[in-house]
Amino acid sequence: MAEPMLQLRGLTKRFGGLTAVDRVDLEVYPGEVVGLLGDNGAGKSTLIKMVSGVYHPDGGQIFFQGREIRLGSPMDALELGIETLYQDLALAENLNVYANIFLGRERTKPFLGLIRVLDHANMHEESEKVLKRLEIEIPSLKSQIKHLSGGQRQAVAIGRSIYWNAKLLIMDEPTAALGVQEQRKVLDLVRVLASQNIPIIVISHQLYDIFSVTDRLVIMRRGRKVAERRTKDTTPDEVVGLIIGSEEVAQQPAGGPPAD
Amino acid sequence: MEANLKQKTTVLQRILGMRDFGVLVAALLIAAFFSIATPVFLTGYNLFNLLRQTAQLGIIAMAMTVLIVSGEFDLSVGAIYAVTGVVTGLLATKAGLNIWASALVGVVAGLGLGFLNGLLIATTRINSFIATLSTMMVFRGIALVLSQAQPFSLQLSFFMDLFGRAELFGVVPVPIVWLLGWGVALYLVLHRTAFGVKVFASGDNREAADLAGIKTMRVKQVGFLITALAAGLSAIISLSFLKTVTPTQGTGLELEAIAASVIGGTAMSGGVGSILGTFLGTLIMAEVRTGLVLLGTDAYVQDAFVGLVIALAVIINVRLSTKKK
Ligand SMILES: Nc1ncnc2c1ncn2[C@@H]1O[C@H](COP(=O)(O)OP(=O)(O)OP(=O)(O)O)[C@@H](O)[C@H]1O
Ligand SMILES: [Mg+2]
Repeated sequence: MAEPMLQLRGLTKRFGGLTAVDRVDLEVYPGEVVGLLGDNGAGKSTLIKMVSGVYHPDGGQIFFQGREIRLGSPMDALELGIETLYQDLALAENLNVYANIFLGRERTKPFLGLIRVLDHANMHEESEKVLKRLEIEIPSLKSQIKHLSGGQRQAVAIGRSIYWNAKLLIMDEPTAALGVQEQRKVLDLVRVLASQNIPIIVISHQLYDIFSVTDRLVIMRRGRKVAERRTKDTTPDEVVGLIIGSEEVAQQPAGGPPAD
Repeated sequence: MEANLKQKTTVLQRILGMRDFGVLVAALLIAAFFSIATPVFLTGYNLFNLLRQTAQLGIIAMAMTVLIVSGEFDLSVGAIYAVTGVVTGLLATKAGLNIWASALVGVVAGLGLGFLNGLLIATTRINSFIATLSTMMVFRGIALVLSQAQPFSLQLSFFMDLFGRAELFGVVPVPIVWLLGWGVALYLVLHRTAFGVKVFASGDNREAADLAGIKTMRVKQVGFLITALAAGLSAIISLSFLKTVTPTQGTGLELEAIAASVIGGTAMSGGVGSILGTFLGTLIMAEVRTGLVLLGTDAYVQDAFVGLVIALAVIINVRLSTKKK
């Protein structure tokens, strides 16, 4: 059995009196797409923000590639290869496409032997490559983000997260702000990435999306993980029942790596 | 993903579309108007004089642009300018210290105040407009207490030649050289370095910048150091040229700096602005002031005119940015 890429043990996060995430265990194996489901406020975003270094857990442990990690800031997670696509599109509107792809990790070159200046040509070229790899069309990489459509923006955000050779990709509602065409495009992207063996955690409220791209489902309710299913062994009806809590909570351990 | 963007703009179209270009056209039009209205305007003497007078404001305004782009303001620059001058004057006259050492301590004191501004905002997370409004009053109080509200007169020296009185090649007043040198340095920092991108990102979408691993608070703190350094340099130029320091000097300079920045196309909401634009914005303010003086209008009318220019610039900026959406 392969070693999990990411393993969470008893991860807990409290906001004042509210326990937003309550002792959650989770494993993600190489090449696997895991869907994280739950009603509004179930704690999905909070859980993944602990993995991406935004929040510090109040309890529990995070193991990445077999080693326990402590993340002090988003940069720590990025340096490990944990890339996250946030629910609210996290792009700088007035910066152009390639500046956003390289945001926080700009490419520079020496200038007059004194200072280092931005290497626009390099960033432009590299951005073009990564967007091509994703089969994404954006007319000009010099356009500011505010002039792009929702789908194009999401594509830039995805391009940015995979450029850095992500070892784990987390997507928080990647299709929420998009039209039907664009949603399909993003789902295609998830499949392309999975085929390149990058493990992915996808959060979504769209059951169709989840069933079409995931290998395994994890369902949360009020901060707790209430169930885990192989996608091919369950149905949308059962999953809805688990999300809203009408069904008997059978802690059936159906997890584990996808059988291949 | 439809290609609904106009592609392949020509170089000319690109230049015409640039905000800085619009500000340049405005600066030229205003210059043309005053050149016709009064023949003295377009003389070498007047133009150099205009630029020299612009130096103090321009140096501070360009630094203010960096800070505004990062999403913060510094209302205390005028007071830091006064503290730097007073500390330098005090050490050079009362303590009998060498002028170089006095000026160095003065500038470092100013930087210390800039550091305090950054620290205050980082620790309390108060809006910088309010935070620096209060430090403005505190710093101004420091300048008044240190000087006991008295002005200082300084002795002429080589130092003063170097910062205020000399003329490069016998024609260009040295403050202009400092203005341009500082402008080029800030241009490189804001528009050519990775730090500059972080400044833009911090003011544009702070959360996104934080999530991308940028330490936005650190970026803003550096911004406060840059405005304080600009205030210090500007104070040294001023005392070198005038041979005097007054504890009330630089009152209102912060608002002039913000105005010049806004006229140059800087967005008050952060994330948009340019050093060249602010340089031109400072020029426009100086042109209007000088032109009106040459036409013989009195000082109150000048202020009203500058006010109108600011309003006009803001209206044009808002129009431009909404049209593009
Ligand atoms: N920064 C915060 N401070 C205080 N409470 C928070 C914070 N972030 C989240 N919460 C609370 O924690 C709970 C879980 O929120 P979370 O955003 O993780 O839910 P979610 O499952 O992502 O929901 P959605 O599907 O609506 O995005 C909610 O009750 C929310 O109000
Ligand atoms: Mg969420």
